[in-house]
Amino acid sequence: MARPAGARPRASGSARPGADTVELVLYISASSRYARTARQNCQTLLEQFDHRQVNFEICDIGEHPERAEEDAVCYTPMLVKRRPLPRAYVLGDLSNANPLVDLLKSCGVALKR
Amino acid sequence: MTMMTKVKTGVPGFDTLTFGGIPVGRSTLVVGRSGTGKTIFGLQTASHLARTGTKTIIIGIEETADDLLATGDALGFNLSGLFADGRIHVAEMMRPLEEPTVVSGEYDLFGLVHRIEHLVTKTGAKAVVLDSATALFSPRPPQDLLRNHFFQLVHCFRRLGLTAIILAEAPSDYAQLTTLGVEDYVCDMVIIMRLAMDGERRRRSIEINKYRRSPHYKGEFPCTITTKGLAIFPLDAPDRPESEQIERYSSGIPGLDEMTHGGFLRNSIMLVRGPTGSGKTMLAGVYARAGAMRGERVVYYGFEEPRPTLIRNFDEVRLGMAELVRAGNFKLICRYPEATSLEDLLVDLRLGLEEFQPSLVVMDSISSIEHASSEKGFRQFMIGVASILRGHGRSALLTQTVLAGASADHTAPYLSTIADAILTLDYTPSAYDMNRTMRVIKMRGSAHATHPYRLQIGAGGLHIERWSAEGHLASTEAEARWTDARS
Repeated sequence: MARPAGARPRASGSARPGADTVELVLYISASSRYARTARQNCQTLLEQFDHRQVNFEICDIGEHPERAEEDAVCYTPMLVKRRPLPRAYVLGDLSNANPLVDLLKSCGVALKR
Repeated sequence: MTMMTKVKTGVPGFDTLTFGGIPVGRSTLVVGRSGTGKTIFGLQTASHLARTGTKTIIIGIEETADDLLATGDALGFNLSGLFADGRIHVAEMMRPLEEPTVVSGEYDLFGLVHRIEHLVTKTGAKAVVLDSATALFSPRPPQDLLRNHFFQLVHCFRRLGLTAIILAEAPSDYAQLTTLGVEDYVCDMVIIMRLAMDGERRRRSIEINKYRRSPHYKGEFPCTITTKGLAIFPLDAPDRPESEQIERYSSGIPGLDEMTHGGFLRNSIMLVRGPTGSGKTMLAGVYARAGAMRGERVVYYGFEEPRPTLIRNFDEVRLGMAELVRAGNFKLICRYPEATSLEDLLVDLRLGLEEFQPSLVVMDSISSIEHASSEKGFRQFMIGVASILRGHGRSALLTQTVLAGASADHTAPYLSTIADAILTLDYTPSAYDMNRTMRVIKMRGSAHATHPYRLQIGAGGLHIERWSAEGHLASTEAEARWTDARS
């Protein structure tokens, strides 16, 4: 999938996009007071999982509103699992880890040993 | 107190109620139950704004862009055309998500805010219609969060200088204002649309519930949705500028012209009141026919009998209507008030006036309408009729059926105010024959006879003649007895 410039994955150590990679986008807004917590919570959580299976990126809607349009995102922070389809959505600052953990597990992402 | 700068909505009647339309650069909330016409109000205004040079974004949340455009096109708003010209932009902000959203922690509305900012920068839009807030906040967050989010949205519109129309669902016609219960506080204007039961009918109405820093008409006003969109009837539409000259025209009956000291006045509404069989329909027929014979355009609304019957009855007294109808300047429209809603009748009347441009309008009788509606519905209808007639500067003759002997006193106060002239027809009991009489009760702007005239129905219609006081005395039994007692 072609991505607009500037929307490249920012999290280091992410896997190369492949057929069986889980593609996650965390939509945030620099104007939102929940952006920082969401980013931290998400990254802390992902560190517990095998990063080779996950392609994670953060998208600031203020900079790339057209990307939010693609995923029909109105609220922030919003984590969207874009692949594998169907898309799944976790809304909020991820202060509760369970929904994301469940999501990753359901996609077969392994915990780090 | 600075007044709001306003922009016209183009919704017929609305800009009268609000003295100029909706506030520029502010948010207007339109609330109503499902089916009350909120979306139509939104689309109709959007199309008007776009046509008059204000680029407008329609944010669809409940419906797809195609559906919204199709709805507008079906009502003649030409949304597709405006969309193609780039004057209207339709954004589907929230497609149905593939999976339900799981909530984890706190969140806000910045996604939408940024997308709206982006759209406004890209399109140069100055107005926005959001359909609807209820759908946007679904599933519904906790109340304090909801209030916050809605405020965020309105603040965003305000910051971008957008004239906004926000639609919101109401749970009922009269209780709680909106389902969400937070929207009205932060909007500068609140409009309520209703489709309430009134007797056995549904009655559409619109109310300006709040308008910051602006006067507005208060209370509910009847409205209707036609093939051309929403139309509202401000009950007391501003009169057309009066012409300085008083113009008179013949009623078609020499005796009646004599009673009115030279004929009826132009652009006035006459109410002819009388019991069954007193000659109201005949009078209406003669009046309409005389107008058509002079070459005027005339519309006759018959609410009491089917068209063939009406034409036959007129034929019997040699008031041929068929050839006038054929000539094209006379329209005979027969309707059963029970079969249509009063709002639709009003629309009919208005469209009829706009398209046919008659100078004389006859309605026989308004009592048929009265019997087919509630008191409130009828009152609104009559005031609506008067407003349409005055707005178009038409002369009209309306008939009303009352009980024999009660012509002079049976009158709802609003009917008397509507009518510029009131004529009463009545029977006078006589020893052998039935004497029909007629009086002019009032006639604004003209002197008139104060005593009764005699009226006879025969070939050629009506004959009205002066009735001498002596003749009057001789012909009434009661007065005859009085005469006997004196002799």
